Amino acid sequence: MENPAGAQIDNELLARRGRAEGLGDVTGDLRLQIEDDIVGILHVENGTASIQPNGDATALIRFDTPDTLLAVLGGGMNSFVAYLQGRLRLEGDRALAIRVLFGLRAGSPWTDLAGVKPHGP
Amino acid sequence: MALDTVSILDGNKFVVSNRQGDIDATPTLPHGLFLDDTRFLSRWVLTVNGQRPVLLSIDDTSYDRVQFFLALATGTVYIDSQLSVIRKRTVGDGFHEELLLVNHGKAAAELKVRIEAAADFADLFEAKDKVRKKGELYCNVLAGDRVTFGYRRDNYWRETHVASTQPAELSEDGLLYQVNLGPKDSWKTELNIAAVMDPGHAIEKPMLKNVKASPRPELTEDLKHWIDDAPKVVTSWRPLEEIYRRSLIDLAALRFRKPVLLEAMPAAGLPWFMTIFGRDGILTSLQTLPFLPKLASTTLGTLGLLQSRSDDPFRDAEPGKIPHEVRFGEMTAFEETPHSPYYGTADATPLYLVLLEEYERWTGDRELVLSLENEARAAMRWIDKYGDRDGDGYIEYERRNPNGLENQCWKDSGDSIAFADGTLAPTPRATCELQGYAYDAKRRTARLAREVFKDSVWASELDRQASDLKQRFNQDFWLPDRKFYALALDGSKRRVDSLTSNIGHLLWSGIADEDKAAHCVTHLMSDALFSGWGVRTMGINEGSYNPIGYHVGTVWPHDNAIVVWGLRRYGYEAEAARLSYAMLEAAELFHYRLPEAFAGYNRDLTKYPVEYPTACSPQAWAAGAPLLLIRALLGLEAKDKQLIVNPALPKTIERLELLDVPGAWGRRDAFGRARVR
Repeated sequence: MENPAGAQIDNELLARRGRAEGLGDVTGDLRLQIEDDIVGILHVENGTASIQPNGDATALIRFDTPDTLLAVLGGGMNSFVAYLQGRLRLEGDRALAIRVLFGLRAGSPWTDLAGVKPHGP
Repeated sequence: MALDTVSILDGNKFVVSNRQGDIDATPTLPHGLFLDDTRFLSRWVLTVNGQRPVLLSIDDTSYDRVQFFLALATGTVYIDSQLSVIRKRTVGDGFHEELLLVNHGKAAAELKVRIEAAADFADLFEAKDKVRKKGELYCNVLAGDRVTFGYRRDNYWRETHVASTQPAELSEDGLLYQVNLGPKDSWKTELNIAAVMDPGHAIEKPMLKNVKASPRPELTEDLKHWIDDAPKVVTSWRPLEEIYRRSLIDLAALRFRKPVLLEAMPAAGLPWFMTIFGRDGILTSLQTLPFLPKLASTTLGTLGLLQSRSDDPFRDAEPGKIPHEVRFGEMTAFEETPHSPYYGTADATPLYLVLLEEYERWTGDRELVLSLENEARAAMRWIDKYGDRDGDGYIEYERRNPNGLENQCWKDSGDSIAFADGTLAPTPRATCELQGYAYDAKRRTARLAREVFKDSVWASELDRQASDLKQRFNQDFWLPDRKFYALALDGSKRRVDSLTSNIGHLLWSGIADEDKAAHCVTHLMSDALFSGWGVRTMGINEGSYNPIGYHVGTVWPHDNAIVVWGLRRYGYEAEAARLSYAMLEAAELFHYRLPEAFAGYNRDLTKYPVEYPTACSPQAWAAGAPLLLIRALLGLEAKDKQLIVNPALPKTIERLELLDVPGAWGRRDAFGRARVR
């Protein structure tokens, strides 16, 4: 599938792999999309997180814009708030998605990415 | 809920109206169609020829539907009304209403039937105030089809669609029908009010024609299955059978489903708490475990999923903490309130561990418990690291969000933790029952560590910590002059010396020394605490006592059920039977449904327990209270995959049977006869 939205941000996203303190007990693969465009596969294992261009996934996180994706992935935006605002939707293994999204608030390899702005109070 | 309102509900979807079926919301009248903490309809008022029909009777025997039997008044008792008006309403993702007019007269009638409609899209936190919305309210009329009320603020978008099977003049004010009704003739229309979240992504549902009169047969089937699956109560005291059935229905009605949650878990209470509360969900699950174990597994899974993984002062969250409250409305969406989720509770985390062990012991479901081992370890780390803020070995709380809850225990109103002279205790506050819960959590988790997680080192450490906590607690919290445990230690480690029902929770947890427990029982059954209907939250001689104070004198059914459980644990069978029966008598007088709380007036003042004005009803842990009382009366315990029965009934309940009790043993019957005097 084409990846035009992801192409704008994927270089930096894909280059990162690092510690995610809140994900020590979580393993899984989640597809990240901006609306219908695939950005990549978020792989979480042993307290580390990375994004790979392709692969299988059991959960899907669909964001409305690249800004929301970066803000949530970087832990700056509360994912539950993003969901309530209609900026984020979950499909598939929701439990995995919620664990990962909550865990990224405790620390994320993408925290200091350009474009990540702290959201909320 | 006030007696002049009628509510129907299905989880967090509910409609509150007056007794004619009209919705007419004001800051003091919480009327409306609510879904996900948002009011989708704030006005829905029926008039016929400019008159509001008067009430004849209400049929509300099912939790999700109601029928209003009305008539057009003639203004005098000497002239009979010729027009019946019947409104049948069912709640779902909105509500469905069938409106039937019957002309009993011999002459034709020309009628202007108007339904005024409006939607303010108030967040539930705004419903008590007249708040100016920050987004845009709008209304669209699609001629001949429907009226749409909408609200949009950035991506946050909600709509209410109103449609009718009969042609109506539609306007921004509602619907108008011109009805020519022949003699002995009738006229009917069906109205669909659909609450639509995020209309840009919602799948349009069929709105209009050929809507069936009973639109939700699956709910009837689900309720039948729910009741059939629960154990049966057979007793010589018939009101108990009615109370039990009412509780089962209310617990079914309060089940709450959301796409972000795994399965249905109980919402806390109508109308203000129709959402997930950690403490309420856990205590309700504990109360109902021998009857409805599915509630416990769902609660454990869902709260485990929402367990905090980060440090977040805005949400009063730290890693391992179990959430207090989850909200879905606009103010939460825009972080004007911290409920996404909010973690301002110090008791849900130890109580989560208590439920986890109780669940395993009753059901034998080790698979679920093993899957939650990480959550259990994180919860225990929270108790030791974050719960104990100053390293004194006790859990104490103090909010980090200045708009968060000042009291993060079950008595969470602002004036609940006070000295005997009425002075409020400074924070941080270490309330006594929190220490009991922590003690119980360590004892129980030690068993799980030993038998399920296979970590004997951790088990031994937890047992050692529990023993140490019990010893210190019995020194530091005991008031030797008053001979009961202090309500709390305040920020300066002073003992907060009010007599409260919290001492009953200490019996349940097992942290009280035997000799000190005996003194506590005397206090619990004394005139100061026991009103004759139940144990008050605070003794009548304390400075803050108020029989209609939310946590400083009222009687709470769930609190009493826990006290009864504690009395049984320490062997006080007669006291447990007496208190149980008093509470069940109160339930009978509340039409078999215990409210969240009722007034603490002495029983000799009234023949009936006096209502607390803003009590939620139904309330999950009030609905669960009779189930825990039944468990305590029969002395049910689970041990080594066997059901233990040790009944202690009051003489007024000569015989009590509980048939098909589910558990690790499969299904067993429990039977008791009155022996306690």
